[in-house]
Amino acid sequence: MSIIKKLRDYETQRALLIAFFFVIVAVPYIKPIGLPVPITDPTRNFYNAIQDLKPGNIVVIDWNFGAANWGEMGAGSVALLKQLSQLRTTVDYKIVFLATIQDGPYMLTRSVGEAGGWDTLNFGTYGTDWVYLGFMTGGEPMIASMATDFNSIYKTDYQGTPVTQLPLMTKIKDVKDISLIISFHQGGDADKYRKQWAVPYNIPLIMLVQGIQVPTINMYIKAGQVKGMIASIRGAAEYELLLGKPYTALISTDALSTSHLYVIVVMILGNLGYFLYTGKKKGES
Amino acid sequence: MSFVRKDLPLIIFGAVSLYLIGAWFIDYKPLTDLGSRILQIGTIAAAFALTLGAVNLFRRHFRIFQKRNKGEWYWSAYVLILFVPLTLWGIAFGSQETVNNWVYQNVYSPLDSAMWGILAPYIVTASFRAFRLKNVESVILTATCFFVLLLNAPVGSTIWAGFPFIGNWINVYVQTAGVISFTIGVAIGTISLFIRTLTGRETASLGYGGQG
Repeated sequence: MSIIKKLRDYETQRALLIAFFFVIVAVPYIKPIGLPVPITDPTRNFYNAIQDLKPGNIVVIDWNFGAANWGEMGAGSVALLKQLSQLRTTVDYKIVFLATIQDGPYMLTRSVGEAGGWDTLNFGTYGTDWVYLGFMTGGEPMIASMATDFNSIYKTDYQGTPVTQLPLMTKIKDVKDISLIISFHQGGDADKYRKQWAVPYNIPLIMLVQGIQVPTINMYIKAGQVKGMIASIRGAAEYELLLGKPYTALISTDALSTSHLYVIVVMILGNLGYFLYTGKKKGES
Repeated sequence: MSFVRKDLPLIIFGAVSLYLIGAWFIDYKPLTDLGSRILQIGTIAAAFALTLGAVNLFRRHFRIFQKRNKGEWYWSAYVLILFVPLTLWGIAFGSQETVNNWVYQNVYSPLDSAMWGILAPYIVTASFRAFRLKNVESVILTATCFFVLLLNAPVGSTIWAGFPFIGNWINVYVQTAGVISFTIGVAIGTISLFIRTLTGRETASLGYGGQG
């Protein structure tokens, strides 16, 4: 079979397309290009919502994303921990971490590890300034219940300490004591905070969102129900720039650029092949 | 039997859901407190459902393994080898204990990420075949894809500032309008499903067959 004939074979084309794709994606990781990343409004609003926290404000963060989404949301989660830690040096605000999907605690461990570990991050004194409640099943009904009685679901923190012994938890009676909600959106019931807390009680909600969920959240941003958003890896890169702490997301956006350009080139090649082939066929008939 | 299996679940469903709707709209503390208590019961039931799922998983795969079903039993054995020790270990020492955490971070996590990553080459090969300018619809689809790709990739604005502008317009106006109409449709569908269930016309969610 001649080379031209082989190239006309779809299996060969597919193998070549995939092989080139791996090269195109790998190059920016080996040698970053450093293309400029313009900062969009949702990312800036996300960043500002945290920066605007006042002393005594309480932030609830649901670490609800899984391992499959690390590539998209991991860098954003690390940047979030860095911003929270950085802000704590000037503002005495409080944090409640929790998880509503099984993967949450593991992903928090991973994010904290990437951010330098619990010892490096500055969240103040455990129990007084920050609390980690761990994972609890129950989804949206659980969140709805916590809205009117915050300590109705979690009776202990992740280590088994009763919440009644944690000064921060005794301060929180209901959702009206919360100043900001931060949640991850990877589908499923991740919208529960908007429905049960943000809209009914007018609590600001900001989100780190998986790429495929961005159009849905855009709608809520337009409606003012979500105040800010880190949209996938692109948003994370913008966030890293705002923080002044470049990390993996900025390198990944170079790969995003090369891979997206490659898809466009592939689309053009596909059309060229299609029109040349159909043109030739018409000429033959 | 019919009352216990059919009517009683419907009565409980109707009473609980109507009460919760009432508690949502009427801001009266005793009413909302009881509503919160009902939701707590729901949370406990969800925890039981998770346990039930785990027990079912064990039973199903143990049965397949026991019967040595052709082409299946070794996969079930694989599930059991992973599932049983990790569950017992988690119950004994907590899910965040080093061994469970190590398995999650170093075995499950890379596998899960790889599964997700496998999609990317498929998108490339699909874009070679799917975006062919055969008719007006495919031209619109391809053009939309082109601008949205260049919106999400920072290189788009480097090539021409108009690319992200057009992409953003598509994203914020065209796409959002579509998502809004879809969401409203789903919401109306949910309300009608609720009414159908409440009136006994839709029984699948109560666990006995399809339409009543």
